[in-house]
Amino acid sequence: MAEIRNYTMNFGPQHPAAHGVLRLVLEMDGETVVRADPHVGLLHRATEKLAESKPFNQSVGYLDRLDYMSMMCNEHAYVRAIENLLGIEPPPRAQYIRTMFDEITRFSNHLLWVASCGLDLGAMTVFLYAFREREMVMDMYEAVSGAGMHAGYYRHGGVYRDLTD
Amino acid sequence: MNGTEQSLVAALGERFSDRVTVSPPKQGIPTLEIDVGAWLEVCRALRDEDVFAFDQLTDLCGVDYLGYGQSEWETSEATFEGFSRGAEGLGPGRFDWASRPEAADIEQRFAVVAHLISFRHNRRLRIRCFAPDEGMPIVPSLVEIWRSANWYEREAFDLFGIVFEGHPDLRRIMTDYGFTGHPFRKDFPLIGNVAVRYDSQKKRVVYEPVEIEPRVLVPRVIREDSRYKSNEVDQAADTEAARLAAEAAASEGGQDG
Repeated sequence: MAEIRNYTMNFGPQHPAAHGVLRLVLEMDGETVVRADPHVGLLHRATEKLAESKPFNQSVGYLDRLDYMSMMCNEHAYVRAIENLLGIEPPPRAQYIRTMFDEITRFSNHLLWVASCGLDLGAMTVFLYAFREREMVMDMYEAVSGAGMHAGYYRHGGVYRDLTD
Repeated sequence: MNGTEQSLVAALGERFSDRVTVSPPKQGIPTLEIDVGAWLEVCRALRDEDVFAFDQLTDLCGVDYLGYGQSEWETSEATFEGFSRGAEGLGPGRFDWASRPEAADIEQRFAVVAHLISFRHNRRLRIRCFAPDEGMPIVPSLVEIWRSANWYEREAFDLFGIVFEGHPDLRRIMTDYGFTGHPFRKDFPLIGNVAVRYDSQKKRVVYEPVEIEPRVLVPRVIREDSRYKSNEVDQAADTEAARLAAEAAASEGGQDG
């Protein structure tokens, strides 16, 4: 019987099936992946290093862009960390607003994954429906912060401004 | 501090009294400072002993204490220059590769900090270990104890240059192939070292020394306020500008005619 050996295959960093830049060095046994060496650093932006040389409030904009599908949730984690360190308790109204916008962000996030997952499977219709609904969430973002995606809305101790009428 | 944290602090102090320092909880998490020699032994006990039962390591990172406690901010009365006051000169990372500061001879420059969770007791713990040598900081690897430490230690090695002894696969994880230096060290410039671009003649991506200047990234806030425009220089500039504008308008009109 002929000797069958595993072979090594490269995947990415740019690949139509990968959302983002991820490189995998795959060890294949026929069609089966038996080992993968992921090279994950291609999207590393050293946000921590950038934040080191700025006042706290000026880093909020970077946080939107970490996971650009759940912008305000990232901001929330960051402002909560600073609040914890400084011992700040935001007023209840701000806490409600932030929790509410975390949930709104979650809608938008889930709509996006449903849409793009559908698209990967060839279901174009799901994509269009989900993105139409997502547009409403974008409008809510825009109403409070002025920006549809990278809001920069949360602040240490509260939010940038009150909800609109 | 509630009862469960208090009992944890007490238990930690009692069990490892001679080798560790226990700090009181901050934001509900006590900190355990462990000597590098006892790092593995104490961690193994934290995982295995029923009183602690920290089954999961959720986070591990490096810390560079170079310049720790020094402030570049001068607190003075409010000025019209806003945040930019005081943030000049060689601040954090604000220098280029050639003029990066010599590492100051400080003791205990690099530390490894990890966060642990005990699901059984619903408790968290922060552990810290200072690497003894600044030139080549070495800390024993925790991969044998918590498998999740693997990539975190690679990250801390890549970004801070902390070497984890006994790590099965200590390669860079975040930075580019063939990268020099450890970018999160405080003596690494914020603008970086090399820049990449596509060279259309060579038909490939080339590496070049970075061109951008290190600068204060804090925007200088200058507020325009008519109430403060009593300054003679400003007024003179305004009259001059008005005169120039009038002249330009006149000459344009002449061309049209």
